[in-house]
Amino acid sequence: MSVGAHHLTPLPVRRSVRRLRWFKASFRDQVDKLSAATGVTFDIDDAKQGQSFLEWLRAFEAQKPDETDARRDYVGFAAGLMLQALVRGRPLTVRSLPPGADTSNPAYYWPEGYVFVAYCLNIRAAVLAQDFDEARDTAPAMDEIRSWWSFRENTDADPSLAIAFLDLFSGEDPDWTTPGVFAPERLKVDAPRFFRAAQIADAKGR
Amino acid sequence: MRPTRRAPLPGEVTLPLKDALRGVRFALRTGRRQLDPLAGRVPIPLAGLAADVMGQVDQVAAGVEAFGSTTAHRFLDAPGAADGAPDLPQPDAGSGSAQRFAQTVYYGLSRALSRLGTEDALVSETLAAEAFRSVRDRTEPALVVEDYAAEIMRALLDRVVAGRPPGLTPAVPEDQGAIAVFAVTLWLLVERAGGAEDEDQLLDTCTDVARAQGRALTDALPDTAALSALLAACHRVI
Repeated sequence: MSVGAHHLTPLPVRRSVRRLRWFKASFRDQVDKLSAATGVTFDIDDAKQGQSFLEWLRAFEAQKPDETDARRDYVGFAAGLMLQALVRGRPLTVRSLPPGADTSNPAYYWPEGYVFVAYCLNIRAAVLAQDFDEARDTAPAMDEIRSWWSFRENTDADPSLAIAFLDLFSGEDPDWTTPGVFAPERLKVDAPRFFRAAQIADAKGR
Repeated sequence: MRPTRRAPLPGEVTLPLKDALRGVRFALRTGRRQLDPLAGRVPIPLAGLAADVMGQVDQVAAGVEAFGSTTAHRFLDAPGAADGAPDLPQPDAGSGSAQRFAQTVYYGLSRALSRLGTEDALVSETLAAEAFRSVRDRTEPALVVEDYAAEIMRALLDRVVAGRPPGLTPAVPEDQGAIAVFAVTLWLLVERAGGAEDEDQLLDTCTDVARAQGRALTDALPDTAALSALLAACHRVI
């Protein structure tokens, strides 16, 4: 699958995606492609789509790191934030399933969720390819119905878990405890060291 | 024989005429809606008479509707009417720019208010044109585009371009009027991506962005510099 609507602006995807017009056009493009592939038809709620985008943009700007070496990790996190905004805002509803649709297939079990995940993975892959020359593929969890049962149930209760699930579907290591807080890989590795250093300093101070 | 085309009337005449026609049409529609439930309370012997009167009101309304739309159509077809992509007319734009701007604002505000849930608003082209002229006559040509847009927005808000005639309450809520004017100003600012751009979709997008500003817009309203900064920030995300 690919992300369309590049025609709207010649900017790189990481910049284009921060424009509502591009977001709407590329999301519609994604919906059309999945509809053609699966036979599922959808309705897009334009106003809700705009709200989801603006919610995402606020969350994106709020945690955007200044450090250049955190940028790569932030691409995956930002894609997760987008999935969270889509899952929360639900700008898509299924109009019809094709006859005999096999609901043990994730694309038919939760078609809206499947579109959201596919879109976010595509945006993520496009930015990683353009800016970091990385080719990305999905993880086996993407095709496992059990992952989708868990994804749907858990994000119903807590949409921030969508960030962790997108990591799972893309083969990254998910943070299930505080998925909504950005922590670059470098910081995750260093954190125990900082913690120990703090304990030592504390002991010396006594 | 080909019908002779009348010379187009100047904007100073057509804009107040269009406003007046729309006002009459609006008042008749609103009055009809208000009378409807009352007609049911008329005692049986007089019910037929009441129905006749209501029928005559409907005929007058239909006549005004037909006259209004034909006349307005003729005005809209006049040279200088809105065509091409809407934009902010430059301060040094020639004659007819105020009329074109007013028509664009009329269309934009009506649609934006409808998306915000306010269907029955009267938008005055006369006041919109006046707002543009007031800014044009005092603006330095080298102004930053968002500053200029903010000046126009303030002038539109000061004149309450979108409202309802006195007595026909409720008025358009002030915050909705401000959101709609902000949305239309953004719509006029945004650069077009080419022939594929759907103006209605773009206006809806601008309205959604304007609505999402919430408190930021309320806080910026009294200050043209803050409005300009907010317009610039929103301009970047559309």
